[in-house]
Amino acid sequence: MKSMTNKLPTLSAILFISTALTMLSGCSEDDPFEKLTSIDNVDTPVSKGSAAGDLLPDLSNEENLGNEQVGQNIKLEEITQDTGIDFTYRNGRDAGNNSILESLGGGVAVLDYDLNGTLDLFFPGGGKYEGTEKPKITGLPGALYSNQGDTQFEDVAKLSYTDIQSLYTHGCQVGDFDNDGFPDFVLTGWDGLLLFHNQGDGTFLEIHEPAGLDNTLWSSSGAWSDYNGDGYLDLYVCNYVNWSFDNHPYCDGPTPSQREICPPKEFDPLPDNIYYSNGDGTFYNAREFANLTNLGKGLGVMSADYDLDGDVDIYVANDTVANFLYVNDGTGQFEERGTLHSVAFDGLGNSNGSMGIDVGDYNLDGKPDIWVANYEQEAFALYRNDGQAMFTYVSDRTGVTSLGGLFVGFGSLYYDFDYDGDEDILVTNGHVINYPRSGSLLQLPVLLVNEKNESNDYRKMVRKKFDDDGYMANRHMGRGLALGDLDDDGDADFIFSNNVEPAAIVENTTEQTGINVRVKLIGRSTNRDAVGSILTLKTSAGDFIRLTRGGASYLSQSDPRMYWSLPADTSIDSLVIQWPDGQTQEIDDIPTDQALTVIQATN
Amino acid sequence: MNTENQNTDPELTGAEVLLGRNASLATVLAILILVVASILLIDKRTQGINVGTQGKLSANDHFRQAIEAIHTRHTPDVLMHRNALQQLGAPEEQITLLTAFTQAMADDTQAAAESIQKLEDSDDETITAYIYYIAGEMAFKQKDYASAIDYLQTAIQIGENLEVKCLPAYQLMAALHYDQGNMQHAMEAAQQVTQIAPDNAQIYRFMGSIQQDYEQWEDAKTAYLTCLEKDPWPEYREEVLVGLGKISLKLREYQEAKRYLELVTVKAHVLALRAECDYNLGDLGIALEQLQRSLEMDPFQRDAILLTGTIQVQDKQYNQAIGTILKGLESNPKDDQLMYKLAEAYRGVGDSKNAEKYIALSDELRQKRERFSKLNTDAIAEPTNIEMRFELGQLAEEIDKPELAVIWYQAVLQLDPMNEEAAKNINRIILEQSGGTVDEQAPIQVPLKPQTPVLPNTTGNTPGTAPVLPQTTTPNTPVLPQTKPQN
Repeated sequence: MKSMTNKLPTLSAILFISTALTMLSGCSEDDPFEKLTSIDNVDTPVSKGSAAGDLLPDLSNEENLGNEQVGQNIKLEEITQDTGIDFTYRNGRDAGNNSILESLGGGVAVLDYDLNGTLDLFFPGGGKYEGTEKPKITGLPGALYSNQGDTQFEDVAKLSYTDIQSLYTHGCQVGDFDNDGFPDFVLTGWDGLLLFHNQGDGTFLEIHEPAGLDNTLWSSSGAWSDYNGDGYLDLYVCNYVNWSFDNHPYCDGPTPSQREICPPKEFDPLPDNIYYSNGDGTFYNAREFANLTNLGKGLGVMSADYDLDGDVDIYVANDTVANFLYVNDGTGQFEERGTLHSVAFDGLGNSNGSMGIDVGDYNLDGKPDIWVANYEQEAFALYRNDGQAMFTYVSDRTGVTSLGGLFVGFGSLYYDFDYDGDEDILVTNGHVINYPRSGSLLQLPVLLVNEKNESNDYRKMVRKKFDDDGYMANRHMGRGLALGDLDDDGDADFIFSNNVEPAAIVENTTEQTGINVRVKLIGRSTNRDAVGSILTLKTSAGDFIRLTRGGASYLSQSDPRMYWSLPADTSIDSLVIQWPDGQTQEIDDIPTDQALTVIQATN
Repeated sequence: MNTENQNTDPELTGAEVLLGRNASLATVLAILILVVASILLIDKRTQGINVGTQGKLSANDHFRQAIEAIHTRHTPDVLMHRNALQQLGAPEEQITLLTAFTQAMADDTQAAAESIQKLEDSDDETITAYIYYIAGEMAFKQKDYASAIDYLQTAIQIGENLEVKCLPAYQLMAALHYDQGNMQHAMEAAQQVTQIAPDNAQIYRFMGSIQQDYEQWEDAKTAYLTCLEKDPWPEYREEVLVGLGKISLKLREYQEAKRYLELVTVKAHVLALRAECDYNLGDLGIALEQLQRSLEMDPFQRDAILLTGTIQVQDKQYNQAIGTILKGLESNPKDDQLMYKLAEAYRGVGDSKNAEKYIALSDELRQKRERFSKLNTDAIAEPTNIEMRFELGQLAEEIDKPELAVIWYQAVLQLDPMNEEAAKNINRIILEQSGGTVDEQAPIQVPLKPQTPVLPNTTGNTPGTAPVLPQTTTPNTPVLPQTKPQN
């Protein structure tokens, strides 16, 4: 997340005055957050049509809201108020510290913590400041929403002992690190981690210290995977920058009296950590062994088998500096090849402010392609995998760049919304600074519909226009995003975790004109979550791959099940699973009316 | 694809943007000769001007209009009014002032200094303000920036009480600060110009240029649009429209960029920019056609080569891409973006050795470019940091921006006139740019201040510490090229 603090405060002030007659600036002396309740107030349109009279083209600055013709069958409906979920992530901004800490926001995790077959949700609570001189940073309790069926949720954080307030939290990553069948989770946050061990009785025990997760840096995202192939989940932890109240510079807003949140370039990067499991519920820091020698400003991380060689690699989205691609040699030792494999930068070799990530196969060539949501005026990145995890930047070719430069993108997901077999992309957006010059504070989510072209390689990602008054047609302070079939109707629903704005549950109400396939894997000789598996659904319409992955999106964790939506006339031949330990298993009878759970076959 | 950090015309100096110079050294010299010749010709022609058509104008009217002509730097009009004033028997000091201006504009430094000396006892505040402005102009041309600033500040101070402010002093001050790398001061001076002359389109072009250099895209766009609003058909209209097109590309407003670029004359670089618009808007066929036309006009057009290479890499036509991009590197040997794309092409054909080589080269240059960009901004907040300016000069050289290097080394000399390294580097760059060879043993030419002080008239509002006016002997100061080659 790269904020552009004005480096010319006085210049900016002068310009503000000078251009007041020719542009309607959104930079006011008022607290910008006071206006957030009114959507009409957050736009900063620039008058363009009047300049030079009729001698310039009519250039009204109406935002391109998308194409009405694509994805006409897609219906997304917010149902938050009907679910019993009432949660808002808090960042302490009301104290007026204007710290970069407040800009990250929080995520959301989808898990079935009580194994009752319905998906529950955990929201990290964020934090606040205590005191004024040198404020103490403390946490706020998160919420564990237990799904009671019929998409009715009840907050059981207190009952489950997950309402700990010792950490200013951001992210939540779910992983069954002890292979006991009950999902555990880790919370990331400022200067620490929390590890919640699921005791199987509806309660959790926080054990980060005895477990050896000694990360004391500002952690943002995490990714559970079995990196060294010993059958137990390990944890990669992204750390961000060295901000604290001892390193809290004053950054000017539009005028020197208006304090802006400092950009990440004001701070130094922190090293990421990777914790390898000892197999007994404890971990050791394997950073050096794993060769994590690079310094980034990590915000997003996603582990998956990008080169399809049977081990789990790691992709890290860094803010304002090069992204990392750690290629696994199969032993848990990595080589950083982001630049050489063309996923470190944009298409011209420039580093971006990267946040949200996901992996899918947009062009249906059987190779996983990486998606990255970036800062404003930097296009979102779509990297086409040309094999062996060698990527080509194709945002321009696929129409992603034509979205414009107004979005600050965060949580991202591949999902096939329109039952045509190819994955579309959903992104939640929202600004990070107080006084943006370009985009607005609150931003629209974006759904890019994957449209076939004459060549598969050059599919177009076309923004769908939502013309109703629903969640997708309104602006939000988007951050976390996860998916899961909350109502168990076969398709995925979506959970948006916003920054100081109520979280939203958006039900997928698209008419189910095709086939839904949901597959859950349970590993036996591998890690029980089977992270790192490659699933290939063989059908009459072709092969469709999915990768189980750790981390992804932004500070969030989706339902670990894999989802396919296929045209109604598709016949499914089989599902081929390549487990993380290399074992291949083929399933012939694939149900479409219920989720399929596949337990790894014994040798 | 955007062309990150391939700024519109970063090579344009402030003076060029604001004062309208835009040519190579040879062109500047040629133009200089023509200007001198034309002024002499105009001077002769207007000696005998029939003031009948101007007959209704009083001497005061002529003088006022002459001052307005100075504001627009329209030397022929200044001459015309000066000659009319001569015929009308106007005060000699008014005539001398106008003569001094025309002499200064013609770079006849010696004559201008003599004219100024004649006016040193004037107690007319207008005359005094403008002779300090002209002195500032002369010092500026001689790269004696410290004296130029002193003269211009004095002109501005004296002119504060005048009904018509000494506008060109503000303008020149803005240009001077720009060329010194003091962007905040340049913007402040420019802003003062907008208040004195709100209809002055040129100053908005100047402001837009600065903001574009500093990647303040929205502000730059507003300034350029205001420029065209004030004057829809300036001689630099196309330049401003191209600037608007490039800014819109940066802002990823492709449709808008395309519309601006459709208003300008078809040239190789314009076609490349249009192709970028069409490409991002999904019109691949049109983009390819524009690229082809662009490269037909200029086979080394950098943006066209980069986009062509990008498309070839995306199409997995790696060998073609290698050929395309290598050609681009012939004329842009330190272009990190071309190198990055070349590395991708080599990787595509399995040539990992060359891929890694160009990745490393690209990475090194990119880091220097990013460092340059950061220091470029940081320098605003640290106007007296010599080391930072020297590093900017070095970095500019390393990323193949010798013109910017000269500017930053000049900025070093402004703060540390005896800095031999900066002077040496400037001389070397000038020689290299002109195709000459560097003589390491040659004496280093450090800009000198005038050495024979001539006391000014310090009556009225002239500050007690007013700077000395130029001597009549031209200092031995290297004259530096003001312009840079276009991409």
